[in-house]
Amino acid sequence: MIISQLTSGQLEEKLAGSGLFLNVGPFIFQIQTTIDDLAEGLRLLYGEFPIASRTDFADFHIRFRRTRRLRRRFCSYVSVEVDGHEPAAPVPLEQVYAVFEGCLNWCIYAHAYQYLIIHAAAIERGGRAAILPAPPGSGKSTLCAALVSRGWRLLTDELTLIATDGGKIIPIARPISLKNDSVDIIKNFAPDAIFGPISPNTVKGTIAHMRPPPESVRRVGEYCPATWLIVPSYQAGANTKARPMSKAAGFMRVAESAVNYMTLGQLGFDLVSNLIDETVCYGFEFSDLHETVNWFDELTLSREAISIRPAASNG
Amino acid sequence: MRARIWRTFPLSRKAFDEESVIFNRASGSTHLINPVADKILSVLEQRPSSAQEISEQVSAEIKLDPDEEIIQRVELVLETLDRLGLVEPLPQ
Repeated sequence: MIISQLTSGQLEEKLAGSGLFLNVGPFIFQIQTTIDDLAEGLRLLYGEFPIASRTDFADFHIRFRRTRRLRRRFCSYVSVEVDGHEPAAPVPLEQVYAVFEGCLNWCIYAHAYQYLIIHAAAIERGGRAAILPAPPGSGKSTLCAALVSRGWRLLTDELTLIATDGGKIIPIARPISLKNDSVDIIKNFAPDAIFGPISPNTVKGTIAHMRPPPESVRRVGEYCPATWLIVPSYQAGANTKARPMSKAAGFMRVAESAVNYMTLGQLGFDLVSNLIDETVCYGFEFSDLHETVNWFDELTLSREAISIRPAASNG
Repeated sequence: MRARIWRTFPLSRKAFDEESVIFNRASGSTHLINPVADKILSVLEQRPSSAQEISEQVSAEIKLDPDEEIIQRVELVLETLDRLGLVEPLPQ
């Protein structure tokens, strides 16, 4: 069963009762709450995601509750509890949806060390994936949203999981987090895109999440090899410009962007080495999304990623 | 004063074209290094050596005489590698 098969009432009932067992890629989250905005966000953005059984093992047990803070008597807050602990102080209720997505991120990057976790978006077309590692403010999510609205498969917006066995990307296809001006930019670029509740006044500004394409969610079990490593950098007014990046520089970029590279030690080094062996690396400046999508589409027509493989593999 | 003898630590190496990435298995740190530093580390992986011995080995491979300038350059690279925790001088 998927979430969109539940009525709003049934979804709220599950969330208020024993919890919604949300299946996101390789994870199961048990989510409990009576907060309407969160239920609405789940209904809007997670409609295609499967519901796991109550008898399945849940990796994380998360509860969101209304609360109040002593000095802010007229402002409602929301507290978050993960596996019986509160990992952060309560935040204003109006930010509940951003907190929910941030909490799922935290659960993954702080615990899922069975994978190499790279702070990066990843997209796929024609069986080949591009990893987009970049710091906040680089336009990574805007670029990701633009590309998936033009037919690229969303693998992930925020955390790219690399399997330690085989080195493929494990999709999670969660909603894409957009901030401030990026929200309207994508609304103009992709008028059919569906957005969840808006979270104003966060430390990152106003945040809204875009629903992942249903096809991307349905194909979440299809792992994908990385073919390109593309480091995006949004520059207002800049022409679209890609420049080749050395593999050694690409390696360092991935290692710096990986949450648990140091923790994995030799395994992390081997995983990044293998990943870079298989990828072509670029630095990518952009501002115009139409030009950018064209550049990415042309990339899929190139055969350069095949030419770097050993000749022996051709038979 | 006797010349310092340098040693390195257990390293993993990934060579890409003209650059290499080195993983120090003792500290967990990773470094992007140029071919000169890479060559010096590979000499030290065989055995602890002085800057002069490293210069002699490298020069022999490229068929040059190890002059004072090469030795000084190797010393400088060794000091940089020392700051990065990739080599250390043996106690005199």
